Amino acid sequence: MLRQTSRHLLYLLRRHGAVTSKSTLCSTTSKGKHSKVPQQPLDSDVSHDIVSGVNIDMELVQHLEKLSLVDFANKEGLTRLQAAISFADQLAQVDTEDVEPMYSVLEDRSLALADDEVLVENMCDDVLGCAKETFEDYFVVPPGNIDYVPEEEYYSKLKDEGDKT
Amino acid sequence: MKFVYNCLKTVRNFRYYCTTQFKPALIRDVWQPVIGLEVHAQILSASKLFSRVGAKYGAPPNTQVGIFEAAHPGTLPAGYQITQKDCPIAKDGFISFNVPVQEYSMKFYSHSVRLTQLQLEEDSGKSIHDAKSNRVLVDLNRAGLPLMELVFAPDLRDGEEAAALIKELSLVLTRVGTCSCRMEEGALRVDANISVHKQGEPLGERTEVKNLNSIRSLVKAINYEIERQIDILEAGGTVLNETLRFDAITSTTIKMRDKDTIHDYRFMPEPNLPPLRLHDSLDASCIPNSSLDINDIRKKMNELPEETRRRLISDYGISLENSIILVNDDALVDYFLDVMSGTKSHNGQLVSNLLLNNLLGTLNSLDVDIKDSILSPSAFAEIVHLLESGQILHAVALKIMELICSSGDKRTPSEIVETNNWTKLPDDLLEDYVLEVISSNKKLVGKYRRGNSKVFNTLMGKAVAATERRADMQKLQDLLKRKLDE
Repeated sequence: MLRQTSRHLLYLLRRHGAVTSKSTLCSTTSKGKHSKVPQQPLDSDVSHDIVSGVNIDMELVQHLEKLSLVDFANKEGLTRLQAAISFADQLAQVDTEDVEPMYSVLEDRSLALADDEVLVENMCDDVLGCAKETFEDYFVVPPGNIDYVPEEEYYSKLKDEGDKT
Repeated sequence: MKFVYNCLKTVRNFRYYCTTQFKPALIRDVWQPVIGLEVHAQILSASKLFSRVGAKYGAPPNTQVGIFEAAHPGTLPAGYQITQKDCPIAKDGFISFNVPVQEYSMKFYSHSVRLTQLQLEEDSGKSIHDAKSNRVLVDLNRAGLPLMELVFAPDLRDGEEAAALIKELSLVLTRVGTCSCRMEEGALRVDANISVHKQGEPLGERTEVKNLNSIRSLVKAINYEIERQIDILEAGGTVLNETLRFDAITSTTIKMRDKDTIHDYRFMPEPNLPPLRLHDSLDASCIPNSSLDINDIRKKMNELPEETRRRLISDYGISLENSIILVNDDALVDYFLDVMSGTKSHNGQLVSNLLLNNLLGTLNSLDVDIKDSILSPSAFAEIVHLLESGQILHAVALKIMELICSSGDKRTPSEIVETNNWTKLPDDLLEDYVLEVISSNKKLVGKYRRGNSKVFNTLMGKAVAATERRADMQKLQDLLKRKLDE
């Protein structure tokens, strides 16, 4: 999505005459540098009344809570979630028909290839040097994600709360 | 399983390339299994994909780690793996392979599977869970190793086909020299996506079986999982889209711990890498503005296994089955070709049969590999010559092989034959021996002529002894019978 918006930004700038087809975002003239980035905000063509395609149901909320370990399954939390999704949904209004996504601004160059040879030998001490704790040349890390298991009545309680408000 | 053999091509074609089509039967007459494989093959390189540290197997922990994959401050944070998922290096290919009609069978049919895409990926480090002290130990040696991911379409129909696909893939990759394919070392990792459905109905829910580290466990896991899913569906249940692992001890598939599976994979393009461009100088429409010419690689590539099989069949006249077994082992092909160049024989089938049925058997029982064979290709060629020119019997050829291999006999085959007087008796001399046997065993001959046919075996025994086992058995038997019946 982001690279499509940077293309779109360029399109908007061109439309407003800020950028000509052969120029880049900044140019140097005899008077010094002249920024192509508009100094005043541009009018936005984006409509704010969007119906989100995402259906926020109980299953999704449970999944998100499990992944994030944040409990937000209350009215305010859900409103914020919906607002965040709607905000991101504005991107869908950009017409990217026939526009190739840009992955890298270095797209005009080709990736340089290196020969397959080992140039760096054992760097164990340097690599482990920054670690807080090591054991027999291994990094020591805390055990993996705590498997979050909600209490049994957690979700039914939430539902009751939701019905009340 | 009952097999209905639908041979759509003539027998004459079957003798040459394998064009036989075959579809494994539906399970319990209604269920169609659908299997798709994902293979991660570790590229046989000296160094890693984005860093110039070593890539050897089994190095001590964290001794093959550079700044890049350790993600020290100042470099990009790791916690993601760079992969080509959206824009793979190759798409829309296929691979054909031969499948035995049944396990260990010598009859094959041909099947082909679409290779949806082939992409480059970085491998991840390894973590060891130390249960006693409730901590995890991390070794980054494997992090950043170059992998090829091969995504196959779900065109496989049972465990046997999956095994055949992986075997052919391993042959190709080892020939081309890009992967060692040692599954036990983790150089080739296979995940299987398995579902079942009834014909005419939509595809069923699939499960993913991971961590299959041998071809045997691949076959067992697939067959077990198919049965498990059918049992659930026939009992009216639903198959859950789960990730499973195969437990070799119980030979069953088991749900993986949630900790191992709930990875909310987030794929993002890597903005710091310019595009990897390849061009093909043989393709006129291709602009040569890239890092690599595919044609340079193409020119250096070794002959692929299927090309070798076809060449052996057309140049030496061997059967499809023999070509398949020969090409499974480069050393066998080399041995065969050495023998054929050393002999005036044009009978490739005879040579390959002797090699595969007899020499290999002898070497296997001595636990010797073909490349260490005590019987050299030139000595083997000599035996073939003696056999083909009618100087020795087939049984004698085997005896010579046995002598040289097991007892380390240093004489040449011809010397062995001469000193042991093992030359075949010329066929025209047989009549004298037969008449001699008949005249010196009048009682037995009398019994035979009066109707006691069992006596024939005794007479045959006497004839064999008289000829010192140097006669062609079939001719001797026919001649004896003829003379007795006169």
